[in-house]
Amino acid sequence: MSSSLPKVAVHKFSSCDGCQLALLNLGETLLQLSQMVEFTHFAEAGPVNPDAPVDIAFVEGSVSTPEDKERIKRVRGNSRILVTIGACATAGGVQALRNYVDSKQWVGAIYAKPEYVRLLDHSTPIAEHVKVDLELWGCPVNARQVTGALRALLFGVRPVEENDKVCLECKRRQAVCVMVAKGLPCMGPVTRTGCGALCPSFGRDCYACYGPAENPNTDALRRRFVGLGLEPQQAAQRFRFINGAAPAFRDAGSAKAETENG
Amino acid sequence: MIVLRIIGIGSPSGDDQAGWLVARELQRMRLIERLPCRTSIIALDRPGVGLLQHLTGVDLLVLVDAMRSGAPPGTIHRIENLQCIEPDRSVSSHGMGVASALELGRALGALPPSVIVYAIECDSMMADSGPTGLVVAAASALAGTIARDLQQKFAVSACPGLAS
Amino acid sequence: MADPPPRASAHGQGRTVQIDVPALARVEGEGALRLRIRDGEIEELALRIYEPPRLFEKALEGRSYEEVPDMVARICGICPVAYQISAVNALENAFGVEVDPWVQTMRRVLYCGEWIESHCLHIHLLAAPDYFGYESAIAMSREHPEVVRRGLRLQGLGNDLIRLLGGRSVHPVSVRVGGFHRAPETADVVAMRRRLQDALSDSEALVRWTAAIAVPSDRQNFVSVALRHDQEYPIHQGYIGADDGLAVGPEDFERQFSEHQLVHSTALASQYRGAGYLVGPLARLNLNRERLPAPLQGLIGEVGPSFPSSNMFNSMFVRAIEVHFAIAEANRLLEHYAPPRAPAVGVTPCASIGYGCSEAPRGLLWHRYRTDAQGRILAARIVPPTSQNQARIEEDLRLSLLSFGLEHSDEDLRLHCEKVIRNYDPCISCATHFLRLTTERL
Repeated sequence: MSSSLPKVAVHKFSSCDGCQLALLNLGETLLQLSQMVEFTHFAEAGPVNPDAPVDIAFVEGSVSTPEDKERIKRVRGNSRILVTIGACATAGGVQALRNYVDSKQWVGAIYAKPEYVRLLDHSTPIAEHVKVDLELWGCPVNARQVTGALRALLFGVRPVEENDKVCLECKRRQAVCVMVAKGLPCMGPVTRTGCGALCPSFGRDCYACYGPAENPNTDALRRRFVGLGLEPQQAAQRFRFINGAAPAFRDAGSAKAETENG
Repeated sequence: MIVLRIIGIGSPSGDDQAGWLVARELQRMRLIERLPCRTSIIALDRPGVGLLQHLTGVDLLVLVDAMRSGAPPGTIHRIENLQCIEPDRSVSSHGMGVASALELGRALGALPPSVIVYAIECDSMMADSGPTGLVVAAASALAGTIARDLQQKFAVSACPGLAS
Repeated sequence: MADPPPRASAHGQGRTVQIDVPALARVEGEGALRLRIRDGEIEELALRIYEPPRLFEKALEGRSYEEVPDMVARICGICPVAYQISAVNALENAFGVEVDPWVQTMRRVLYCGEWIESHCLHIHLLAAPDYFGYESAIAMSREHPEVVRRGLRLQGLGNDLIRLLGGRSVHPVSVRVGGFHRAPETADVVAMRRRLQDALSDSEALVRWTAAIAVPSDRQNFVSVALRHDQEYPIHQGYIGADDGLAVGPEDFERQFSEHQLVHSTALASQYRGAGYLVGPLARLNLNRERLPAPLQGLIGEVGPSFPSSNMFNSMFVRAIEVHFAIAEANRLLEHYAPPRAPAVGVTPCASIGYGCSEAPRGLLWHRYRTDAQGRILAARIVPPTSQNQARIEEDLRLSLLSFGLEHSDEDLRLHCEKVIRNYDPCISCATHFLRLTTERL
């Protein structure tokens, strides 16, 4: 019973699994989607068939091991369209913090037999290894991003990308600016919206779950943080977090930036 | 040869996919092969004023979108006089998007010489859902109507497979 | 790596069975199963975890205590609340912060949301298909739509409850040392209470439905370890207990539970008094049944097996009980809701060591942090429930297969193993961030 529905795969690399939950938490909508597409490979939901050719592959997680490097190439070869979902896949994830240090030291500190742990020095985004057709940034991505992208792609439509900065979303929601009102080191001015300015609406500073926005002025923001009273090292560390390995944040979070005083 | 472009405008939210449904149906009907013009059919996700970059060199533009104007859902509108579309009164389901884009296009002299807007009345734009059966049916009917209209316009005789 | 489909070979009298499941379906994270039986004896049996470790314990070093809830949430997408609560418990312990009753109540409500979401996801998407002969819940929903829909509804309710307190259901943003960043609006709480109230008939039906599912009877000997509490069924706080009478605070965890290299495996596994032990819903219920409201204890008596239970196959039923409990508990706790004067107390960091734990959906989750005078993390140690269960899972597989009978077909053996593993609802993404284990790819 070969189905004529478009085939979709969901692959997991090094991640917390939270982005797949955008699909697994859909409830009724997941059942609807399964009538529009055939989930050929979606291990956590049941179907395991990682090497089947598919129309759309969603990839969560970063590349962390030599095996991952081989596996992502196979996934790319089997997939007409490859969509990365979440900070791990698009930016290397929070585990990319080890990219900044001598990660062998980290492994040795945790693992009694480090020689058995075949981990790459760096956790890297999928796009560093294969061509990616669409990136959905977020930590986690939200359901609307994933289902919106899927529906659009099924029509052959390129999904629209959110490029506004969180600040714009705060203004739309009439949320009080936490940087101005509370002096908090909010990453909103350089961060892409998608969460609906969640943290500022909770009275706290944004910590850049959705990654760098277009044309982020990270240097100016970092200096502003120092002006708010942060040590240069702390100010730089704000960029070195969930999406820390994204190129736009990497420089602002670097060791060199830590020594720049305002 | 006349350059004809048909653009289905939509978003993934429920009935807001109406424009995409029509575009897909027109592609399936192989309309491109049946008209004596340089025809292209595309679908866009919330292009906003980015719509304008798809209008360069176009002689006849056909836009298909969802609309909310209070008419019964499934009603099909055909608008040739763009003066009717006021940017500050939401005609398109995308609020300012399409209307603003057309207004801007007019101001910039960037609109094609002929523009026809078809819209399907919707009232269910739920995110995370597919289009309602009513709108799917309306989209199918609209595709047939657009095909017939264009054939008449270019005085092409009816082809098998296109409902008359 | 080429992933062969599960296969087995058999030849001659002395049947050799080799079952390789290179990628387990319907578990969270990346795990594999390897089984070899020769001449009626189990020659090799292992649950291999090949999820790459993400080294969180090192990544936390040098970070501010304020960043810890955001970071540890990323250990697990299904149970971020558990990580956040265990973390703030430990940091508040370190800094001597005492949160007020409103915060404790709201943390418990938030956690109820996670139990509901995680357990329903597990019951319906991961476990139940095995017992009805389906590969997936999606397939199952075509013939059992009401059951699956009910499960998805309850799962959605759990997510919405987390969202009410935390802003979003995966990696909530509101938990902080000292309390919450924001208190929910009373109107939203009232609306949620109505939904919780309405859901009780669904969750009771869920309990009855899981009670009626025929499961193997496979009694084994193991020690149950879970939090206990003098008044409540433990979720977000308590002392550490075991069914041999152990009662210690989180600061004594490392003295009681240690890691040993197992003779037959290269994995280091948690042990209590020299043996594997069980954490998770079954352990919790075994130790805390009397803390459940009387009507719920009555329901267990009416439809369920007897407790304490040493049959891991009762786990699905126990998860349903905990869902039903969590819905009623959240409803009860929100009954007299009023926004607080402040959603958090002030926090003054100091150089210290703190210990904290809570009951994640999958069991006891323990954190320890050493901090400097500014509240920056100097050292972190996190022990998730799935890693504590690893020794128990392997022992269970061995015993369970023997009691099931090795003469069964390869397909039946494989399915039985997978059912056993799924009883534990392993969360492999969590487990590997810490494990001192040899991650050998098959």
